[in-house]
Amino acid sequence: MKQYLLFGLLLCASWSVQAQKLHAVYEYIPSAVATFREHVYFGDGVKVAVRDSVPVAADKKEGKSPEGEMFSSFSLVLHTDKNYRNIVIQKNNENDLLEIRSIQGKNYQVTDKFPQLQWNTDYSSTDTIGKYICHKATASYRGTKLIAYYTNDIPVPAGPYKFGGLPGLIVMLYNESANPNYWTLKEISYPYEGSIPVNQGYIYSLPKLSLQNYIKKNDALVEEQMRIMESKMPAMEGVTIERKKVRGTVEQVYEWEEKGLREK
Amino acid sequence: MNGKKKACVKSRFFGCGWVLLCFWSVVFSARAQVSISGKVTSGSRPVGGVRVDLHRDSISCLLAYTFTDGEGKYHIQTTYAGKMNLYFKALSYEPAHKEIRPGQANMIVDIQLSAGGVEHLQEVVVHSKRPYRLGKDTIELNVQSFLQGDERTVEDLLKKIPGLNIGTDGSIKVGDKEVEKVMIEGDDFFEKGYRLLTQNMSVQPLEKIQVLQHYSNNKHLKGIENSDKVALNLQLKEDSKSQWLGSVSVSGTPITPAFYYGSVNLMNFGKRNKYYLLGTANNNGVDAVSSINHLLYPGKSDEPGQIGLGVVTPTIIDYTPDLPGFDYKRTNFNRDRLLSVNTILNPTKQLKVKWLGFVNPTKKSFYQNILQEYHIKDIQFTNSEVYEFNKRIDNYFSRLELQYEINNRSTLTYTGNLGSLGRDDTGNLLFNGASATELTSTQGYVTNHNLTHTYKLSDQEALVSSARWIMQRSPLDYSIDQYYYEDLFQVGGISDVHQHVENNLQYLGVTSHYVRRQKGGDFMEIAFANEYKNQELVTDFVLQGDNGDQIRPSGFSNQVGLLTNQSRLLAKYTLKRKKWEWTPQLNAGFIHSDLRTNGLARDRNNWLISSRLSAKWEPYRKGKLETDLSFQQTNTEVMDVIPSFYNTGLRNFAKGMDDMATLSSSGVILTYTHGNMLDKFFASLSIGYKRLFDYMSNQSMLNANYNLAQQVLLKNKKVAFYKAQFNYYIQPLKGNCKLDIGADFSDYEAGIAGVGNRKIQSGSHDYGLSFRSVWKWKLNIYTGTRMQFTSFSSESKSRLKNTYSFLNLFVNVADGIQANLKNEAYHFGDFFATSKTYYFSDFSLSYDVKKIKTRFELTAKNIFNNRQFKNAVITDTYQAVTEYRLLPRYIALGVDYSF
Repeated sequence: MKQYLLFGLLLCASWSVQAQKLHAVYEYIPSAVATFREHVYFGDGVKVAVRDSVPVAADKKEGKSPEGEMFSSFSLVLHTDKNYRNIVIQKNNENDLLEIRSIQGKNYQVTDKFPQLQWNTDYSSTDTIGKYICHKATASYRGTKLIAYYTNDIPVPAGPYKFGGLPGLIVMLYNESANPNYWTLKEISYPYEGSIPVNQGYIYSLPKLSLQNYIKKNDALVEEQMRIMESKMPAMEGVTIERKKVRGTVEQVYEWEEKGLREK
Repeated sequence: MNGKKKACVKSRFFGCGWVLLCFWSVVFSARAQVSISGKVTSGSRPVGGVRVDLHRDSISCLLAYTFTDGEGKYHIQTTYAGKMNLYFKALSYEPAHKEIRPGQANMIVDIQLSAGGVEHLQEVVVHSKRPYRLGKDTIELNVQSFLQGDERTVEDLLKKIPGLNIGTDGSIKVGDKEVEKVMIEGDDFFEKGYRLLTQNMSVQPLEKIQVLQHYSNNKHLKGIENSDKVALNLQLKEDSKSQWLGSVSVSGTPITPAFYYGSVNLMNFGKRNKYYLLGTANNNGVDAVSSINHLLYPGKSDEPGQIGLGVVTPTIIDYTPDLPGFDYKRTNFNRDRLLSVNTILNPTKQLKVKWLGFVNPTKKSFYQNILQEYHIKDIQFTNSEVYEFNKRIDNYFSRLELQYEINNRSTLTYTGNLGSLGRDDTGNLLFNGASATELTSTQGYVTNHNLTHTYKLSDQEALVSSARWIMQRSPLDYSIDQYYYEDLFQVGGISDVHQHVENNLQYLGVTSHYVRRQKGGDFMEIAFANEYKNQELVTDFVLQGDNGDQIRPSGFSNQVGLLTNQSRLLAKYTLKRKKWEWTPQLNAGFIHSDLRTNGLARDRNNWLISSRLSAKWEPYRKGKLETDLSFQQTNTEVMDVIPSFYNTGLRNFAKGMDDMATLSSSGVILTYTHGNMLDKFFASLSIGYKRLFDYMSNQSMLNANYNLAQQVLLKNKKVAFYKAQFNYYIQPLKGNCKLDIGADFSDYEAGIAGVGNRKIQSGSHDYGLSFRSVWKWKLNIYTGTRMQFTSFSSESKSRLKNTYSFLNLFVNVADGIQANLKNEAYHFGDFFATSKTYYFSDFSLSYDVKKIKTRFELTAKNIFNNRQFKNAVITDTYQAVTEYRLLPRYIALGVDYSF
């Protein structure tokens, strides 16, 4: 919540907007136990995606409180400390996108040389989500396959997180995995008259890191934790544990890692 | 992407460059590209962000799309040369459309848009559909999406699925949690032994993989029961042909001594019928039946609606050597054979039939020399026993399980076992220099039937009702061709001694168990049970005279019948909040017992009350405190009420107290944990105290040739313990250092004829220190040492110090080649001047050639070729050293092949 206060100060628009903006709210579901809200602002050549730092309260109907899930004697949660707001800024005139990510409670301004998504829209099947007729599209993305449903009714090439570039707004998106990440559109408003709750000055004052360096730093921390765990486990004869990277995010394999994988 | 068409989307946007461009190229036609560009304006102002999409005749066939840049410009290309339609669409503007006639390669299409169209959107999108997730806890994966062409086994495929982690030992984890089981079409053979399946089954017949979270073994308890289990379910293609697959594993010594191990696994999985066959044989000490333990005893005792678990006839004579902390395989001279057939049939959608059968003809031999020393006041003697045991075991076992889905809320399950358990033991011994032969034989059978009905009342509550019937007969014939008991019976001229035992059990239990999960996560259980048990024990002890006479000494034969009928009620409630949890539990029952001993009948009615209060509290993020307070009442069992002595082997006789009693006890356990496995520092501490208000102790009569132990009921035994474990990950050494400290204390009385009642204080202290490395090198070590001090004090004090040290080396020689060296050192107490340190070393080298699905292995066991091993123990009456004969050094070569 501290971060909320910090960002509360930032509740002012930092760049003037001429064209009318679209505001879409997505529900981001990275696992069965947590749901986050993600606000996407799109207009005037800039897309800003801001993910809340606190999870949405669980659905009452399911009869389980999030506390109930957390209070498990056996669950081990990697030390991610607090969830800080994740912000993604994509600008029309720049190939790189900007992401705010944190390691051990410290925020970084991370530059991502984002690979262009090669969408395959060659699907005839449609699905109705809410009142929208949605078309399917798929793309390979960082070691996983994205499946998106977009609507032609809203001709805006935007979507959640870093995703977009389809003929219409993305209504639902997920990746094919044993532990999929979901985004579903919850609210939409146009024209959006409010301001984007992001302080550009604060963002640009953060220490800079390339995505590769950020991931390297983060992986080293996770690797360390996995080693600590392995060192405490009973040693079985003839068994060595494969320390595969456990990335809970939608990004599984990065471009610089793909090369290494191919060589293997 | 489609093979015929290739979609290429070039993304740039309006303003300066973020424009999306998409084109399809028809691979088989080499036509020139049609290029369309232009400008979109409204009034005189350019309009950016307008979607421009090019379609073939109909609107549904999208050829390419792009968005206009900040100046309203666009550029779009296609290889299609026919009639096309160009559409323009943007929020706040009326959509526009233009027809493109074929013929021109480069076209300029400018368009004017007028304000209108969708000018306002304010909407909440309601949809609960998640096509990828079947239910809240089920994720379904389409196998086709992950196939890259180089997969052979299920394991190869699972490795390609993001979110699943496969260890080198074949273990499967979803995130960091190991899966409970891998099922095929909802059927499970292997439980935790699933790698037998995943490493052997071909990926060919697979269609879908389901990841089941919060998994429950009883499907109606899903969501009601507290479960954090994960399971995988493999779904097969409709037309998948049943094919035989499996593995063969063979290893043997090329030179004498000859040791071998062989096993064949065969499986065949169809959509409806599944078969699994296992055949194994070895003489290298491995207990073959242990490989199918999970097939014999499925299900968990902590699930609702269980009754009659662990109800068996008592064991009268058992010579299986007990060597805690020592690898039993080193002393087990065996010839094990096992054949097991398992099948699962689904004749209809509602009915599932599981059948399991096995035969296990086995021979086991072991050799032990025991030196037992008694020093209690005037009782001073030493016994020596030299034993050679040969056991022949013939077990036949069959289990049938029928599962019938009555409707989607209820299931009826029947499980029936039938087993024939035969055993013939021959013991050649030298007792204090006199040789004898002991024969023990039993031919028993057991049948166990259980019927369970589960009814899901609502999403939060279920009722599980079970009935179980058990019948077991375990007769035993014991004989020894030496007469050691002349002092005891004051009879001479005896050639040999016999004891025949009839040991029967009949049990009938019913229970109804109601479970409910409250909304906040609170959990409630109420159960009613009634258990009827009828046990019969007849022992007939006979001294066979030289002249053929049979003498039955008085007080050494029994005819006991114990019939009990117990009705009880269990109530349990778990109150769960964010930082704490309370579970009060009450178990109240009324029991009627009917005891018939040697023609005398007695009955008794009493209440049995047990209560427990467990609490968990998280005072801070990494700390957890758990406490458990309990009061318990139990009744004496059949072995406690036996009126006369019976023989339990060689010089040992035992008897109960010839009466029934209720034993009460209460205890408290407190456990504190700081941190978890992921923390550098992880510690746990637990302390406990138990007071047995009533307990069974012994009154013994000790003599070199016999030991008569009679059970007596005494009051106030105190038991206390503490246990602490500290883990610290040492950064510079890259490894975890673990310190274990623990102790047990007990304070009780036992009597010895001629000495009287002795107050005994026993204590045991354990200290352990170990280090496990997680180096990035090819080499890793696991090393440590453990010390144990045991003491008994009464009129004198006896002590024993045992130490154990180990150093295990793991080397990843190269990809697929692994070497392990396991070194152990045992040192036992220094009485009898037998103190000696034993060193053991075992080595294994394996080479896994994945391409030919073969694994080669070289193993060397007992490298120092220790042929004997001495183990020391102390008890409250004697101290003893037992020497075991060990399997010699051998080097075996092995190969595993999967097909």
